[in-house]
Amino acid sequence: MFEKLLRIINLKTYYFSRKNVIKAVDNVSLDIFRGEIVGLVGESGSGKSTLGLSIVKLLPPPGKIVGGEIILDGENILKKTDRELRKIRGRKIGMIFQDPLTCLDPLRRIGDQIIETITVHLKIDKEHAREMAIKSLERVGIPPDRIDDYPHQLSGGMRQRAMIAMATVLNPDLLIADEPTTALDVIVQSRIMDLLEDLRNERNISILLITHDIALVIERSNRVVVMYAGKICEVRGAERIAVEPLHPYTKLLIQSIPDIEKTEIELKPIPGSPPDMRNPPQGCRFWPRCPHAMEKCKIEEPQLLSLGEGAVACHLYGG
Amino acid sequence: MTSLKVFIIARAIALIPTILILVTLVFFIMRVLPGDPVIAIVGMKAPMERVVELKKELGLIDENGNEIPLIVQYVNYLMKLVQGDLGRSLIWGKRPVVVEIMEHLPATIELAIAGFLVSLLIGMTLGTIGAGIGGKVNSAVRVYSAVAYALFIPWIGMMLQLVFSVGLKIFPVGGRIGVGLEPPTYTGLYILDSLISGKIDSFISSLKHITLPAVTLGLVISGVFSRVTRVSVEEILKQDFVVAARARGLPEYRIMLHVLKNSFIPILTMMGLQLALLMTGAVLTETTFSWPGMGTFLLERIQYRDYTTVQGTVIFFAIIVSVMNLIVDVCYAYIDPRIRY
Repeated sequence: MFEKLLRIINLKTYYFSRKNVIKAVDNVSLDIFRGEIVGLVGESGSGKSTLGLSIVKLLPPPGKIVGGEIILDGENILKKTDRELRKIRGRKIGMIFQDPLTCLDPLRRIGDQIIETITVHLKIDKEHAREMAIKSLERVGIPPDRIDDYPHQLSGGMRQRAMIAMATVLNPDLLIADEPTTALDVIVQSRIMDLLEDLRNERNISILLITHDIALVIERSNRVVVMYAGKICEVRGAERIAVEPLHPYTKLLIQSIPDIEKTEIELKPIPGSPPDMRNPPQGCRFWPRCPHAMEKCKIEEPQLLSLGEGAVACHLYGG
Repeated sequence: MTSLKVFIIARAIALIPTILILVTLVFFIMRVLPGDPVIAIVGMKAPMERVVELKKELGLIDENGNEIPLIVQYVNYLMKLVQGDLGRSLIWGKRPVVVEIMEHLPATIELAIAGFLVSLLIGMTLGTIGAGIGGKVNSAVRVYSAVAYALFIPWIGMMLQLVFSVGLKIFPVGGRIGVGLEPPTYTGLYILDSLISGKIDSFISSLKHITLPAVTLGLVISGVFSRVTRVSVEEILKQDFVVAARARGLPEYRIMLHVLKNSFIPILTMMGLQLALLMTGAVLTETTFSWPGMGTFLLERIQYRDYTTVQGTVIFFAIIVSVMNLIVDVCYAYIDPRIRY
């Protein structure tokens, strides 16, 4: 549990347009241990998906990694050639996305897409690859006779299962799941999360669960990482953060979870809206929305400091 | 695959009303056109007996000299058409129109296929390169599409003749094959026939003859295909499954295979739409290169006012285009499993 699988050190990923630079991921450091589920949570535009794509170096065109290191197995991914990167993608790091329908080639049978993934990485014949594909589909609860189905013939939940089968067929060390359940209904969502947890328990895979759903992250992950406007504001164990959030943003996020046991039905949104990333606020990026904002917050940027078992970036705690 | 069979049968049945409408349109338009075909054929000063005789031949009047109503003429024509009879030509040997068409059809088919292949090759290659590389290359392909589409076939044909036939003397100016080199007929396509019969001379000669016409026709139509390929590949490259495929570690060429298969659907649609252009383009190309196909044939018969042949040929073209569209639809359903009507 304490073996570090992936280290992200001072990562900076920027998007360059003609007029401005958007610092989508700004000086972020994060360790992922073997076999843990890390929940990366934040609003839209907080940079959480960019962080996920940076790990496999698959940023969309104006995006560029301008600094930092990403260490996997003691080697810096960012220094690898395209050819070396291709051997990591799919083999050591698997990835699943929000909408499994658009993420599968609509014109190929799911089995063929899994087999293609296998044969690209391993030198084995098609028969063996097909067996592996069938096994991986069975593992995620898809009957073997569906192997020759096209993506549109599967239900939303099944498609996501097929994506998981495809991403885990080669037993990767890390699975990056970018909003894996957002497009699914609650019951299917919980089954998919059960499946991911089972896979972690069986194979000791680490999972980076990227989502905007703080409740899901608290329930399903070991550690929660909260991102706001391209920066990490708090890292803490899931159980601790649920009862004792430190950063004001985390507090507000957790307060915003509706409680079904209470009779009041009013939702508690966080006031204000996420900052304009072309021109983020000086100092702490959260201060315009923060109930505890001080003069210092507007001038000086808080640093992420270790506190107890986790870390927090806020002047209230000496950051 | 049974659902595919049902789909094909359903589409084939749906073809019947389409063809019926086409035939009706052609039939009535030919008769609404100003000018008396009989006078046009025999001349103003022809004796009355000759006019009556010809009118009978054309099915305009019956044995007793009474005029046959238009609607009866139409039904008669349809009845003959169903039996594969398009009437007889009005000039020369008065041979059946179907026979005349069949004599000229293989040449046009050969040219159309060759031109189509050239246009697909140029168009899809340029389109894929443009979308794949982007930037200035993409803009260049965009300009190419517009220019190629605007080219006038006889002009580009004559330019090619000037450079490669008159100047460099690499390819012949016109014709379909060298004198005395015609291969024995199996399919009617000289390139195939000469290969089947193993006549290398004929093969080389027919290949040399078809190069310039095929390139002319192909260049012009390639503008459409380079545009649609470029737009389509660009569109598909933006889709999530491309990123997902990269995330699985697939090499770029494999990703391009996924992308191309997906972008092929709009290209296929465009192919169906371009078939009509291919036919008219073939007519122009044929006349430029004295290619003995349907185009040259049709033009010649229009000049001689051979009404039955012209009508038959137009209907024949219409049927060919509808059938080709059916084939395209079937390919469509075959490639994209989501399409079953």
